[in-house]
Amino acid sequence: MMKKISYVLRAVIFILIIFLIIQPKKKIYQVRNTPTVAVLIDDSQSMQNIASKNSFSKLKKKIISEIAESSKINPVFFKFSDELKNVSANEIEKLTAKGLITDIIGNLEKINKEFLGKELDAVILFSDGNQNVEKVPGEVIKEFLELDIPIITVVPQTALSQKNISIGKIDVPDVVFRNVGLVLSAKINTYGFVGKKISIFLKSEETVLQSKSIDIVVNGAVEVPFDLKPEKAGVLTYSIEVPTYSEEQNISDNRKKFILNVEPEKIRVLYLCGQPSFNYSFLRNTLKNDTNIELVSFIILRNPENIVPVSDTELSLIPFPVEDIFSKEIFNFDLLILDNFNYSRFPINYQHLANIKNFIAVNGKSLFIISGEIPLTVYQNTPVAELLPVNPSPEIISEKFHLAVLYPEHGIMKLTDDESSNNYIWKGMPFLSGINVSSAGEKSVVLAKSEKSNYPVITIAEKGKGRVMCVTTSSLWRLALGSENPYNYVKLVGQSVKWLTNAASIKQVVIFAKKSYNINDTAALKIRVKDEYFKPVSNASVHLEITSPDGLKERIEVFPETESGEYGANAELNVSGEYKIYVSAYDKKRFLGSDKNSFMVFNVSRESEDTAINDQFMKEIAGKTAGKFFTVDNFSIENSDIKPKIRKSDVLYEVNIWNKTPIYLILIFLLAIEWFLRRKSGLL
Amino acid sequence: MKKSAIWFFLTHLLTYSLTHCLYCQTDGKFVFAQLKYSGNWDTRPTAWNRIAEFLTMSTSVKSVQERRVVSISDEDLFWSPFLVITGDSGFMKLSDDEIKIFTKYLQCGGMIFIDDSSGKKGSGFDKAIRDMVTKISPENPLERIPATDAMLKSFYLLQNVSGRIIKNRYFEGCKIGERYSIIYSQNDLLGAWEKDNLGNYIYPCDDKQRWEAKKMTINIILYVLTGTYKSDSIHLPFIKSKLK
Repeated sequence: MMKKISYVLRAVIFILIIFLIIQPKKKIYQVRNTPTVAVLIDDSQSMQNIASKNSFSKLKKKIISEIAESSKINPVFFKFSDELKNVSANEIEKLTAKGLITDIIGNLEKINKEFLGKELDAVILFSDGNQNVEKVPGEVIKEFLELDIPIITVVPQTALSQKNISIGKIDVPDVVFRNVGLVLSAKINTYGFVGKKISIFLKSEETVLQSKSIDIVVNGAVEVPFDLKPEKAGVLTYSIEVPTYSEEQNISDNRKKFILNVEPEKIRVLYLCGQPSFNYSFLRNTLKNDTNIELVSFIILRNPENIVPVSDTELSLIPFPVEDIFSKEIFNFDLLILDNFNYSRFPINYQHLANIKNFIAVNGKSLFIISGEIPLTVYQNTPVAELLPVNPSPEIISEKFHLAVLYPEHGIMKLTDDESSNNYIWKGMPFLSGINVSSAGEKSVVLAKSEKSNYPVITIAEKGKGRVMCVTTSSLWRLALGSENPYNYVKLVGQSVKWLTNAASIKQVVIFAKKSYNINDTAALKIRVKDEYFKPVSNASVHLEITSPDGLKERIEVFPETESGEYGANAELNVSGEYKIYVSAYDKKRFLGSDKNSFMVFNVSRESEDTAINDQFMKEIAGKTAGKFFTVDNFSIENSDIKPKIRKSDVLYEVNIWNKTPIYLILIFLLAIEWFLRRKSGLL
Repeated sequence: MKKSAIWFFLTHLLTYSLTHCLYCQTDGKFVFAQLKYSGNWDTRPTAWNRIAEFLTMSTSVKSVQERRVVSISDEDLFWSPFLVITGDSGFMKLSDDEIKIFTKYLQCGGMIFIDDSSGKKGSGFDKAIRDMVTKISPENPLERIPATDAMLKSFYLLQNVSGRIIKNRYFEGCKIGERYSIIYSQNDLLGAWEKDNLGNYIYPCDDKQRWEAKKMTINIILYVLTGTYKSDSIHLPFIKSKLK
């Protein structure tokens, strides 16, 4: 008997030792009968603007009646626009749609990672689908599918049967240049026009620039691209329009305006010259070879007193379009050059001259006036006389003279950065000849005068909003032909044009940005880099620093965009206020230049950009996560098909039996009994 | 000794005054400068007088009536953006310094018109000129100037180049930037203008051809002063319709 008991004890001890080695655990599983569902309610402003004014109230009532009071699911409520916030069922009725942005993707990601995560059985998303924060949905949606969490999407639209066409968001590039093509994209939302063909127009004021036809295959949004090449610089207004159709719910949304801030890609120069001369030849050649300048020139090749023994058809002469130039075209240019030009020989009237004055003083453009055989006194008692930086006299002195530079540090006269080298270059400049006698006008600056007679030669002035430069000799070309370095002449002309037009495009390094952005936008900045000969540099080392409104400086990565010296950079704008940007560029170790710019970031709503429901996006979210799509009217928990998940991963807790002291005590007790029995039996 | 000193002073004063006077006249005006070199450089000595008269009568160009004769080393060369070289037999061999001067002249915006008066292809002048051009413009060699170039429409609308003798139906040129800085004619263009003191043409030529040569000369001068102006897009529709 004792022996049998001993065997049993040994077997038990052996089993306990085996358990000790393999350490079995006991798992306690959670059993769920009602699914846990995250209910996300979009409270951005656009939810208030959808379809009708009480649509958001209707949506809240539906959520309360269908979800809050339902016993079939265990709902956890959240409201969201830019941030995700937990709300109780009682707070739903008081919700107001005031959020300034809609970030569906960002908040789905937060729900998954920071809030309920794997505890979720489903998500019900109430939104108009107008995601207006740039985020890629792919990875976030994929994760929900992998976790087997369907997203049920509900749009606040009451009925899809109401016919309507509306223009949604219009996407345009941040930076637009004159005469450079761009592609813009307009979102056209249609309901009730399936099978029909509709026309869409891109207009500038009332002029149709481009039209497109699209076949409507399904209700929802369609992206329609348009090509556009702005021909003017400045702030230009365009519109996208769709004709109105009968039975449309709302016709006011068939037209949407948008604004382009067009940068001057090239400086447009209008050069009017009274007679062919070497001065014209050199200046024209220099301007023509400058890739930053678009030159249109007119030169008078024949005067009425000239006799040509052939018919007009054998001559290449064209009529001088006085009316077109001085009434209309002049305002499309940045700089007007009048070289030895006697207006009184042409049908140029007082109004035309007044237009020149307005072009400078009111429109902020520029005038470069050169005298020669025709003294500037021809403009006396005309509106142009008020623009002249000098007081002209009819006298012409045929002297040979050196230029005495009075302001060598001025942007026009500075031929090199080193002061002493600059003075040396100017002292070594060749003689010029012939000077129109004049004296400096009020508030004018004489940059260079005749060393011999002291008469002004290069004079500048600001006139109203614009700038004027006057050269009172027709022999400036000597600075090229008579000089050791003809590039000094090229540089002088280039810098004159730069000063006159105050142009960004003639800078070696220039950074472009929109004037204003919305908070949380990504600014797509553009940088152009050129060498000292204004040739694009494609392999420059470009450094960009951005200072946010709170004073924090950050280095931004710059990447080359094209082979023609264009670079790009993206900056996230998370704070409102003024941002400052500074860029510098180097070609190997050679400094090419720098530029700075600034822009404002406003904390204003972008919710009004698109007030149509993006049901395509909501359907896509539902479809890709094995969820369902509903309009608010036909949504119900029963139809949503939400089921609780029971999976091995649902372990509530684990029990490690070997962590329990009694187990060890039992083992010691059994070993002691077995030792005692053997001793008593005389087995020891 | 004193006499020679006074003579030297007076001569220099006269030269200075004439030169100064020359500058006085050139303000903003077109100057016809001709290169003087060792050899037969002045094959068409009166051509400019006739050209200047016609140029002033038919165009708005203001020109200096007297031609300016310059040598390579003369500083006046750099007061003359347009240089004419004529010859019929040979051309001087340029030293390295002279090649540098010509190269600089072109780089600084000067233009050269070369006219072979020999009326022969492959003349000594032609060979020497081609050799010189290779040296002064190695990166932009001579090429045929197309009939569509602005030179043929700078004033008169011309279909082809002309000359007193038509050896080539084209001119050649070296293009620097967007314009031809050297223009080379083998058609004795200036010979078409040459007259004696009684007003008779010296060198025989068909009247029509002579007229075309004159028009071509005027076009070259206008091309020098206006560059590619007539190739600007604003002119193209007018010129196209006229050519029809």
